[in-house]
Amino acid sequence: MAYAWWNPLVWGLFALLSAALGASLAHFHRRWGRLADGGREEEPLEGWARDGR
Amino acid sequence: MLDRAVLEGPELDPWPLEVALVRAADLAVRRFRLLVSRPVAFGLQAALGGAMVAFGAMLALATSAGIAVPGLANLISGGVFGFSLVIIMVSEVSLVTADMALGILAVYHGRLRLRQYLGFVGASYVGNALGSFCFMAIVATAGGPYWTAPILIRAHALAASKMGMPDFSTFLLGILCTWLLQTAMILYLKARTDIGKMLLAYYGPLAFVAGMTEHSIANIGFLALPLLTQPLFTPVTHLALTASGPTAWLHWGFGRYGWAHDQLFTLLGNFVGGTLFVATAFQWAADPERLRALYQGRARRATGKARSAGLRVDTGGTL
Repeated sequence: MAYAWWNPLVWGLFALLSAALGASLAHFHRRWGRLADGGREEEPLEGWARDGR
Repeated sequence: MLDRAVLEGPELDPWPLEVALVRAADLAVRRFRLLVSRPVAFGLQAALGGAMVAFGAMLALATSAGIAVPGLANLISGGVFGFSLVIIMVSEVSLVTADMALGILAVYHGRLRLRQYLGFVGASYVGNALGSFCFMAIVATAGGPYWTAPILIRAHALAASKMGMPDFSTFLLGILCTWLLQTAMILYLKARTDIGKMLLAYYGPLAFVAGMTEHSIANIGFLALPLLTQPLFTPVTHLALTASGPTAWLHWGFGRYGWAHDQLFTLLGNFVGGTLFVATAFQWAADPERLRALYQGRARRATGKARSAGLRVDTGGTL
C-alpha cells in the first residue's frame, strides 16, 4: 500500500487539508465579498475564459 | 480610513504583508489574463519556467557528483539551485508551485473564480513539465560529460532515493518543499530593493534542495536524466541495476521506483504546502481592514484617473 496510488492515509490527509482550504475560501468570500471592488457587489463572471480582474 | 503612508510603511522597509498579498493576486491575475488572451505565449512562459528549474537540476547534479559527504553534496546542490527562483521571478515566467499560491490569493480576494484558478494552474503545470523534461532530454542526449560514471551514479542514486520513498514520505516532503519555496516568494514580494528581492528568492530553492524535500517540476528534471540514460548505466559505470537501493531499476509507471508515483504524491504535497501553509496562513494573518483599504484606495485612484481621461474604470492594475 505504501507504493500504490490509492494510499488511503495520504488521500485522507489530503482531503482533510483541502477541507481547511475550502473552509478558508468560504470564510473570506462570506466576510469580504469581492475585495478587489472595495466590497462592491457585482454580477458573477460567466464561463471559465472570462477575464480575471 | 487608513492613510496611504500608513498602509505602505516607512520608505525602504519591506512592504507590509497586505501589500505583498495584493501584489501576489495581481501577478496571478496578470498570468491568467495572458493565458486567456495569448495562450501560446503563456505556454512558452510556462515551458521557460520549467526549463529554468531544470537549469538548477542540471547544475546540482553536475556540482555534487562524486561528493561522498551527504550534507556537503546537499549544500552544494542547494547553493547552485538557488538561482532558479531568482531568474524565474525576475523574468516573470510561470512556475506551477508559485502559481498555486499566487492564484489562491486571487481567489480569496474575489479576483479569480475557482475553476479559472484550476485551469490556470493546470496549464502552468503542463507547460512547466514539458519545459523541464525537454531541457533534461537535451542534457541526456548531449552525452559528453553527462555520460560519465560519476554523473550517472549520482543522478541514479538521487533518483532512486526520491522514487523509492513511500507515498506518505513523498507527500509530506512535498508539503515542506513549497512551504519553504512559497515563503521565499512572499518575502520576494515584500522586499523593496532588487538586491533584497534576489537574496530572498535565492533562499527558497537553496532551502528546499539542501533540505532534501520534493518539488514536482524539479523532480521532472532530476528524474529525467537517469531514466533516459538508464540503458547506458551498466555499460558506463560497470554497475548492475538491482531491485532496490541506489542502483535500483527505475521505470515511468506507478509503484516503487516509478516516475508517475513520485510525481502524483509530490504534486499533492506541493499543492497543500503552497496554498494552505503559506498563502492561506498569510491571508489569515493579514489585517482585513488594511487589505480592504488598499483595494478601496486603488479603486478610488482608478476612478479618478478614468473620469479625468473619460475612460472606463478598471481596478485591476498594480498599486
